[in-house]
Amino acid sequence: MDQTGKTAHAERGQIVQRIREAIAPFLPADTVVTEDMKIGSDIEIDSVEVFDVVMELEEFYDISLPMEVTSDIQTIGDLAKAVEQQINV
Amino acid sequence: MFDELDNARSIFRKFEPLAGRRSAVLAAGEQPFGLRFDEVLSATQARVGGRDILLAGTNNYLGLTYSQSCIDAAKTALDEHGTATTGSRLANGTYGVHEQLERDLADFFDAPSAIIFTTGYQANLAAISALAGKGDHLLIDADSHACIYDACRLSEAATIRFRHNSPQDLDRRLSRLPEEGARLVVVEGLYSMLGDVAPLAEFVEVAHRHGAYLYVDEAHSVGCYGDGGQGVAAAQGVLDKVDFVSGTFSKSFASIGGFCVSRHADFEVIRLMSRPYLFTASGSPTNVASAHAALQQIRREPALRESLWARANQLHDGLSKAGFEPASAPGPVIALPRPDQETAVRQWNELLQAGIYVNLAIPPATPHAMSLLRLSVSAAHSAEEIDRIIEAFSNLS
Repeated sequence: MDQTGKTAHAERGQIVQRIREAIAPFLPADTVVTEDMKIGSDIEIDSVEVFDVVMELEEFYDISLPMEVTSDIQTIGDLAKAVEQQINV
Repeated sequence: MFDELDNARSIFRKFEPLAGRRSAVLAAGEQPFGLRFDEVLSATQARVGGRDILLAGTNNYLGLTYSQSCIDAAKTALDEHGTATTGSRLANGTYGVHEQLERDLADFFDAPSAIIFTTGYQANLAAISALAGKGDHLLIDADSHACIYDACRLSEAATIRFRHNSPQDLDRRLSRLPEEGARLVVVEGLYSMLGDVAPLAEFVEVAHRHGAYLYVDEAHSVGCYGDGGQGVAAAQGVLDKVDFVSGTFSKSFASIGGFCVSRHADFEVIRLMSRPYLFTASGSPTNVASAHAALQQIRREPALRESLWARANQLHDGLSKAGFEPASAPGPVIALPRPDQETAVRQWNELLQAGIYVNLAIPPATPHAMSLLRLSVSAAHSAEEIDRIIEAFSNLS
């Protein structure tokens, strides 16, 4: 696989898996993260931790997620979709 | 019906978690957010609830709130122009004092354009939201002040955050942008919470290499940094390369209001379309006149900065020797990270009981969810007052 996810073929499932890996350090060890889970309620991480997760995804996929996009994200699925859209820009 | 607040449509329901956090802070003692000062005696002394309090958290960096020349200028303006302009700058709100201050600020920064605003918050809101329009790109430091974030919301440009004080991360993000659209990078000279300074020379290089404009908010640094007091950009020798410099009159200038200057004469055009400039009353003649007097004092009295830095070094050194670990190098803002919010709140109360007022800063107002005791130094502090602050910190439980 290439150094960044952008040059690799990134499918939704792979992006979700990458999000799980990025978010794991902030969650209890046995947490099962699914696409429909809401960030901040179902997944209890604060806004600073969300920013760290987004930063890691941006670096991995060599993308930038504009604030207008991240502010609308509610679920893990929303985040995966936003990353997917930026990869395909 | 509006007395029934416990229904699902209560407009206040969403604030319940916030109210809960406020109650937890209040349970530990005094009200740290909106503490009432019963009497302010000088730039460094006040009375709270019958106690004498030494002020070490007022952002009154040069101690000019009781400067005789500032007071005289304000009184004269009050007598000559009345209490308020009652109008926008574009209508009936432009007086001679507004234009005089703009001319002298332009001269101070050696810039062709200077615009003043009614508050410092509005300065960034007005300038940034006007400069970056639809199809443009705003790149802001992740630790930016709320007014910069709000300016981004008001702007129609896409906003991208980069890692705090990282020209390398900015470089990567500028590289990813499409060719189309103007680019505006926004940073602060001195960050108000942790007191850390931006590497502006590096930001200038990166921004200009990518064809981006650089905007520096010097709200906490103007008057304090640089041989002439123009701020961090001047101290780092890049003032002439920064495209826009903004600031406030509510700190070193000991008044209220804000400004933005630019090395681009075309900046003047935003007067015709910037909403926070157009749709608000202009600064009161008293505020503008006292800010102007403060500017003159900043220019003619470098001893103010010398005193500020002597006290800042004394306080930083004393607190470090007392076992504290300031978040940044010596400067007008000295922030002491505490292990948790409970400790920070308890120690803030202990300090107030000991007659010392500092700022309590807790999440979400702080970067990295830190809990801080934040001090701001003033040129008006005496060496003995700084020693009293250090002693009070040394006695904390």
